[in-house]
Amino acid sequence: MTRTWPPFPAVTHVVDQSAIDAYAELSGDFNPLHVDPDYAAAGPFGSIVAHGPIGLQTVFEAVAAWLGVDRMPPGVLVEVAYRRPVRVGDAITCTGGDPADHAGALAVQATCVNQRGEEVLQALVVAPRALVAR
Amino acid sequence: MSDSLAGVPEISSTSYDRLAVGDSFGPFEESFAQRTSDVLRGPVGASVAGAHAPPGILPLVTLRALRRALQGIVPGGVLTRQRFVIHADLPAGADVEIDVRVSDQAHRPSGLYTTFTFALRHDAALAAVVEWTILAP
Repeated sequence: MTRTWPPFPAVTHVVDQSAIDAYAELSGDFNPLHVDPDYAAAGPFGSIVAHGPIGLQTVFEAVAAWLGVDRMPPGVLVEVAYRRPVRVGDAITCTGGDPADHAGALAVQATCVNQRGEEVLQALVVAPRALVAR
Repeated sequence: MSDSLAGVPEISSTSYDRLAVGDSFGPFEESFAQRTSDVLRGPVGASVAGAHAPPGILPLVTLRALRRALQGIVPGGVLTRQRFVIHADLPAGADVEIDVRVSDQAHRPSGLYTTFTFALRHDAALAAVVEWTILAP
């Protein structure tokens, strides 16, 4: 008999310069790629790009909602591959496939895209089966 | 956040090719407050209250530890991969201790990939292990 697990929820965040500036202040990462328009314009991306973890927030929020908690509980693993930069004004949407049940854990392959449908990051989320409410 | 970055340059004068696998730094002590946890629970900057530290705390405090390890952020580096393994809950406000180690380096056509591994402890117990892989084009 096949069990049905809760779907991985979709989460969208819009990234603006104020979020990038706030993250620079919190993290102490003032890499000019994030905060200096002239430097960023001459760099490999041609404009300011967000700190990677800003786009990742969509994945983290989706994981917490999926598990019904306000944190990432012990036993959870998240692996992230960054594919494209997140730029000022981008709307990043994270969605996940159906949870795969294997060896006592559930695995979800999540993808985040921008408003143009371009993939900005992929994430593999693995959670012990006992953490996921049916 | 605590003022742990006082006196640490914003931009590092080092480069990734001057690091070697096995280089280690720290431990560094970092503190975060309830307010910091709350602004990392959803979109960055939007405050949502909660009792535990959200996962967004992990890249934040490890980034601060990386800046301290390298005496600034090395300009031009591009984050390519991250890995988070959770071992214990963290409260919304906490003091943590972070060890930083260069765990891998690889030269590829696109540049030098350097992986840092961070071990994060709270109350002397391992709370999380975080990895960052950064490309120097």
